[in-house]
Amino acid sequence: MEQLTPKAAAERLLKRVEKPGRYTGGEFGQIIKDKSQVKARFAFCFPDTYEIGMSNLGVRILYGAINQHPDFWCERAYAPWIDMEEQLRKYNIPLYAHESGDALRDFDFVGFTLQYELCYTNVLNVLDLAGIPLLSSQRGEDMPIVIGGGPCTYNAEPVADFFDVFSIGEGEEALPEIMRLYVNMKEAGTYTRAAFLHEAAKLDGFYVPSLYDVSYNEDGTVKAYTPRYDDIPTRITKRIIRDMDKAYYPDKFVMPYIETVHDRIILETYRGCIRGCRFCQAGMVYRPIREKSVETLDRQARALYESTGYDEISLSSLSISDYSKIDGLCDTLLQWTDAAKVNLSLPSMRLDSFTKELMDKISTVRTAGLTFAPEAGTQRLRDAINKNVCEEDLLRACRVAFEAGKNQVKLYFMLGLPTETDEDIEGIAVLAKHVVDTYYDVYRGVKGRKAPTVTISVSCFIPKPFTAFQWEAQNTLPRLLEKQQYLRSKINDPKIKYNYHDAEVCRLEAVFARGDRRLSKALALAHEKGVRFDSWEEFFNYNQWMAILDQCGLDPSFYADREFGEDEILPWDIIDCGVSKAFLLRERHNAYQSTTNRNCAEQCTNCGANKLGGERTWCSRSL
Amino acid sequence: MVQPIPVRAKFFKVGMLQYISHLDLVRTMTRNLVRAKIPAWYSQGFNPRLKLTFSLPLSIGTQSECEFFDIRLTEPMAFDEIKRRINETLTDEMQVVDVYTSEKKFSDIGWAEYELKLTSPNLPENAAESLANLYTNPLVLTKRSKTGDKDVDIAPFIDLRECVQTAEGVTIRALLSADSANYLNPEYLIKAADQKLGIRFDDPFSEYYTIMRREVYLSDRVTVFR
Repeated sequence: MEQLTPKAAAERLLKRVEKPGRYTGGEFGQIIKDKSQVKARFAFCFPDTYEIGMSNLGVRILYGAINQHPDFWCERAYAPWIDMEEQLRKYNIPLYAHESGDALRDFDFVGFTLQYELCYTNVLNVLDLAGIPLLSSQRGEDMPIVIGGGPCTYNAEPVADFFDVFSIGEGEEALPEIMRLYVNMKEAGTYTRAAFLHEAAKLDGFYVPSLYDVSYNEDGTVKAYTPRYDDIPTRITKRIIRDMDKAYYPDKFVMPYIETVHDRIILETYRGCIRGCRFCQAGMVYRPIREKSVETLDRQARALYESTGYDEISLSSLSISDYSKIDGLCDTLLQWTDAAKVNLSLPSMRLDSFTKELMDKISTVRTAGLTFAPEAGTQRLRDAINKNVCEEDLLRACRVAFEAGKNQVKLYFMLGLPTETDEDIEGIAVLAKHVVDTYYDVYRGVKGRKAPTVTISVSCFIPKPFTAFQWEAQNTLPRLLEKQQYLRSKINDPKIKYNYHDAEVCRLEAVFARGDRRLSKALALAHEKGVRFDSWEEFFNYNQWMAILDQCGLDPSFYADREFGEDEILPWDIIDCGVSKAFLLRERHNAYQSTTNRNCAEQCTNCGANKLGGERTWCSRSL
Repeated sequence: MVQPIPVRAKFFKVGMLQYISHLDLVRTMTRNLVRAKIPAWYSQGFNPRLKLTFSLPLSIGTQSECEFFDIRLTEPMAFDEIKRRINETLTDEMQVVDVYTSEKKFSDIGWAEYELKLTSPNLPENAAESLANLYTNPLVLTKRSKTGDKDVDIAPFIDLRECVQTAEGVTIRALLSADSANYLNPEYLIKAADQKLGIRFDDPFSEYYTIMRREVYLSDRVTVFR
């Protein structure tokens, strides 16, 4: 074979694969630097397809934040689809980064964003395709530092053996910091992998799993995490950006040629969530709330419009209507977006805040149906999960939509929530029926109207770390399947469309969400057996996974459908996300009483996250 | 409102961008024009769209030195300025080479000239001669179309201009029919070489080919389309 960069070699394969645009790189807005001027190179890998990875806001932010530094170069990489993987393996071409086309193993850092548990096997496959040893302990001095970040790192124990270090919390400042440490140690001649990881463990917000020994009790629960050095923290506190107005935000995006999942301007309005739903991890781990000002958002939106030419701006957050100046923001943006023929979309709207005025301003309403998330079928259960919406809110929101001419509504629910009874399940069907009735109420006596479609999309409850329900058992698989069928039997209106998630997928997710380090063994074995793309229906194989866990002597029930003890040391206790365990416990017990709690805008509930500080936050007692 | 001013741009699309499909090109070019702040005319109506029309779609795996798109301007702008602005929104592998007032319609296009470079150490002896023979005699292939597979003699759609042996393999230069009723994808020349002469491209590192669209002509095969 001639001497080609891995990417140039891969180009010869592009006529043989589907969607070759996934592998070409060369997009407008990509950042190319002179290798000789660069002191540390970072390959940012998204362990799923290009279309999904290119849509991720976190990657876009961190790509820009690292590349702001003239002597750092951040590039992108994605998991190749199976047809490309087959070709790369056949011709022995190592996985490469899109910008330079250089092999990942030649980088200083290879970073993975861990967005969902079922991407773990893809991480291993990417490492393998890159020719990087899977286990941190097997990597030699010439190998990149493998670093992980993203929501799953709040309990990254199942992948602890494969990562050299995790970045806990927000990475805009943290990643350049650890890269600077690397460069400084290289220049001072003090760099070895071991010395570097020891130093990294002393930086705020970095967790080096190999420097903490885990011991277990006889019943399999965690006994202790023991740091190997006295000078590294016993718990790792997550990093946050204190002032979102001063935080780095990209003023341009890499512009994909092929269609991606979110092919539009994403404008992050604030971090955190005031709500405190008891099942929701995002609502806890991103606290405290920190808003950007309307002026900052307007400036960022204008800059991105000029540099991208996109015709849609999506206002991103966990719950957009909770942004304190949402009306002012919409009005400010609408001053120029209408003339520029740019649509605004507000994707995460709470149904209690959905008004006609707001709806008239946004484009999602013009084009698609509406989606709301009541999550549970009865008021009692909605109170238990602290959702704080009631049936009247939903019916009023639907009425607004129907009056505007919509005839499709989608509703999200969860099955298997703690304290759920048959009545709660039946309540989902009843609620959907009431929505159908509302439609006919609006159009009573009007001839020639289309029939409405109410789609109910039902997932299964997954207990997640750092939630009030982190101790709860997931329903067993047979029980979940039974509940899904029970709900089906209660739906007898053809205008109600019933979709439900694969319970087997939800169970495996629960295993990894609350898993410990022993699961690394199962992941390694799964990789050996060729498992990847678990989050893709066509590749998910539950029975194979059960066999793998069994072969490793691991019991999925221990992780998924066991109630964890309140005094038990949890695998994720090594991480401090700001919100205290005492608060989560209080909330757990509030749930049993079906007692709701206030949201941050109303009253501080002492969750503990305000100890991290923050500007433009709701917290009353910020430091 | 003043009458929108029609403008044509000629551009090339080469290198890695040969793997970007026609549909993806159309979608991204709209954004490029917005980014370039070209005063482009939008269709009127409930959902206004930037009016943008392309000439012959290019299939994935074919590069081109002569692609065209038409837009309309809501206010005058110097052609050089349009070219400069658009090019700033593009990468090296796709650049506008000319902007002008068009005189011909896309439907006037009759033929397109392609250069195919076949690289392989395993070509049969006298490959150039055999290929030239193949492309200048009746050549029946199964052609896929919307209405199903059909056996078609593609020879009338091929006007072979050159077929020569090179150090690496064979270079073919041919005009292929490009009117909308009889558009011949240059890949059929490769397919014919495989089916009739057993010329295969199995090993991507020693046996491969490139296709470049070089020029576009009217139906007289002489007048260059612009």
